[in-house]
Amino acid sequence: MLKSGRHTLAPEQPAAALVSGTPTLQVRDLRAGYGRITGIDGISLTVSAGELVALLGANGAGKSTFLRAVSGMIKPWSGSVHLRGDDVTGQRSDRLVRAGMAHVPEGRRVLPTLTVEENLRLGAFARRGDGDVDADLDGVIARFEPLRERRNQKAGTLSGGEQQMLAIGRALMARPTILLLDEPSLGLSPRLVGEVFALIRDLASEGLTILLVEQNVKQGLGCADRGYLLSTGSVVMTGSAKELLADPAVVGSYLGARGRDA
Amino acid sequence: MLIQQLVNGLLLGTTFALIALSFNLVVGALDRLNFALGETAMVSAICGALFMSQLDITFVLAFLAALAIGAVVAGITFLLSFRFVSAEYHTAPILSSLGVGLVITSLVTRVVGSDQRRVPSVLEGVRIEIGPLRIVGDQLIILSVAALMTVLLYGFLNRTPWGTAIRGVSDDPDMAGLLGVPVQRVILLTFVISGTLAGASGLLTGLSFHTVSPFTGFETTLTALMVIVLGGLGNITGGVVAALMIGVIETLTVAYLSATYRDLIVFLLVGITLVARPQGLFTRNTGVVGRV
Repeated sequence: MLKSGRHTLAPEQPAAALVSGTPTLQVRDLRAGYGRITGIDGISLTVSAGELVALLGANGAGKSTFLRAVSGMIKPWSGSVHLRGDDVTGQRSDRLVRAGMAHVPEGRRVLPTLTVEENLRLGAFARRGDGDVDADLDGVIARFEPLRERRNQKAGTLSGGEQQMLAIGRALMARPTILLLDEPSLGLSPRLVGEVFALIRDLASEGLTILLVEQNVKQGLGCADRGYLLSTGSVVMTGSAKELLADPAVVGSYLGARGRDA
Repeated sequence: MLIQQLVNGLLLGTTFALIALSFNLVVGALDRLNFALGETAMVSAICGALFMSQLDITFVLAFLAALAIGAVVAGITFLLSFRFVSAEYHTAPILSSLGVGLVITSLVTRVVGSDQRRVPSVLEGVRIEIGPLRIVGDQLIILSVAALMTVLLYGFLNRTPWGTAIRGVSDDPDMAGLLGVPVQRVILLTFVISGTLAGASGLLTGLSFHTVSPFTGFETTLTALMVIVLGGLGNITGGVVAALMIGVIETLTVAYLSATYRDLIVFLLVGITLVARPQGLFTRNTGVVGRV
């Protein structure tokens, strides 16, 4: 359902960044929270161009808080965020979108009273007027074929799986340099979960840089190049996806904790 | 006779519709009421009336000036009473915008005095008669300008990127921000448009009564509140329909019962609506209680 017409992405990676090895996203010692409650306590993380990095951990480990602090939804208390070498710490979300970061938050958050097409077009708000928006709209709809017939339907009337397509498609409309995905499989049927991960693999193979937040360690690491394991606001383990999957501690503590998942 | 009263009621309703649209836009953008909009309408109307009588400019220019003044006043209200007030304090913008309203009224009475101002007739010779029905030039202007502005607003909200952004921010401001929409600028734009509509409503109401007073600001706010509660808070189309209804009801009450019952009947109607359908007559949303 999610997989369909191929539409190749053209991520804009400046040659300089690739050559010098400047990471697409570099986060150093980020601390953030709500009120006085610490959500993340000093997280450092790097995503290089073209990589798919998974950020894993149980409920409440601070995964979403981390993404929110990176993408400007909440102000970090300390630490820094660099996007392609530019310091963007604490910048407003809409500026970050212009700088190349697209964040699909948890729960998809389609704009319910806007039509599917309006949702998609709003995803390209920062580059409105640039003539390629129509072409990209066609491209996204070709990729997510079921959205075609729902084009003029209010987004709030879509099913969970369709809303997830719309949320990801809408983020692609911004032509991001890096895509932050927060639990894209949450609340979907097992079949749709498989399709979402297939889609993520597709996007990654087309060269898009992705930071994927997941509770489902196996699925998350299954498609990632590298992974970070989070527990109570800190990184407790990091390594290549293969290493992490082979580590008995990971399997023990995290796959064991799967029972509590939503 | 009844038909004439119905038409008069609809005409009154169109001015209510503009001020209701004005309130509902802000409710949509921020989930807050701007209680200074009545005074914004008043100051626009007073200035428009003064420009026409003192500077002797045409109605069209005075009207455009009223729109501009409404836009500026609403923009300033946003900066003074909303922009820097923490979202934690839900009631604070109510008080701060009420305060701005009081300041506007005092400024107007201090600068131009507390006299009522006359709004001269426009298109004096024009009059349309269809059977027993009579529509004079002023009414024609009110009807066509109000209709035009409503249509323009709908077109703007539904057909332009900034209009879509306004509706997106109204749905979910954080998400709109994540899509690259500059949320605070969109909210400022919403206030400015809302002020333009308030300014239009003010001068058109003045034109229908041929007089404007610096003390009608809060009364306008009250009427607008009745309309938007009846139509469903934040519901743009519901507000327009409710405005026309209340215009007709008020006019019929004055014509067939007594002018003293005018407000009573409207308040009763709104009271009954709140008890029976707290989300308003035309809305699917969760309702008034959840949104203010």
